[in-house]
Amino acid sequence: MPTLKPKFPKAASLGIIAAIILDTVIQITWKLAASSAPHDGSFRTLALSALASRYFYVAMGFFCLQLLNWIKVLALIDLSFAQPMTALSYVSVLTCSSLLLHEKVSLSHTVGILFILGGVFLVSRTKAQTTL
Amino acid sequence: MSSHAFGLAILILAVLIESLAQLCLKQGATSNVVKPVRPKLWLTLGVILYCLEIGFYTIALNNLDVSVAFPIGSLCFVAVALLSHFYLKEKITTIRWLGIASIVIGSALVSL
Repeated sequence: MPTLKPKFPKAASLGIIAAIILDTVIQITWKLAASSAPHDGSFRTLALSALASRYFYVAMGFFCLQLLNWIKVLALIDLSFAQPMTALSYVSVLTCSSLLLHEKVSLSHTVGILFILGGVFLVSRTKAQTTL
Repeated sequence: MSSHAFGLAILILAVLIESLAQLCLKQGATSNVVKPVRPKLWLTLGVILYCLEIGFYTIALNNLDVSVAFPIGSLCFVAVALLSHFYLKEKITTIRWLGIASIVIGSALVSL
């Protein structure tokens, strides 16, 4: 049986929560930047119109914050513990896409979310720092 | 090479680059605390690889359906776990592997 009381530094859990929120904001703003492009399928058109979108710069700003936050998290806990946790951003992105962008959530989405939540739960039951 | 095969090749490259970027960031982050072994070099390398990965991933998405790209992209969780185990000597228990497997399955399902 896995231990039910894993060691999990509080600063690390706050960092992971921040990482998930930042990731969600980045993905949504990134999508908004990309969707303002005309759909002619060309990568060049997509890139140029993304550069002209203010969402692109918002996404970039949050991306820098994300990087700084992530480095702080990695200083505290295992990479193989922290990185799977970020899969929770799939869940938050899907929720936000449904609520803000009115995208439909199907049955396979719901089952997928349950698998991700289960997986993150299992990872969270393991010891966060194994190398020190 | 068809656009699909090209997309797949670029995507697999993106997954490998992202995993290496994570490894560099971890190496740089830990160096700050435990042993000062060129943390700035590792962090810079990590950031460069990360930016490269975003470019590759965007090109891959341009050539593939999200329903194909996303599950393959989520194999990054497996690649990072393998690198963490072999290179960083992290202990990955059966429970952690099961969790990672469940996350990969879940990621495949949310992209359907």
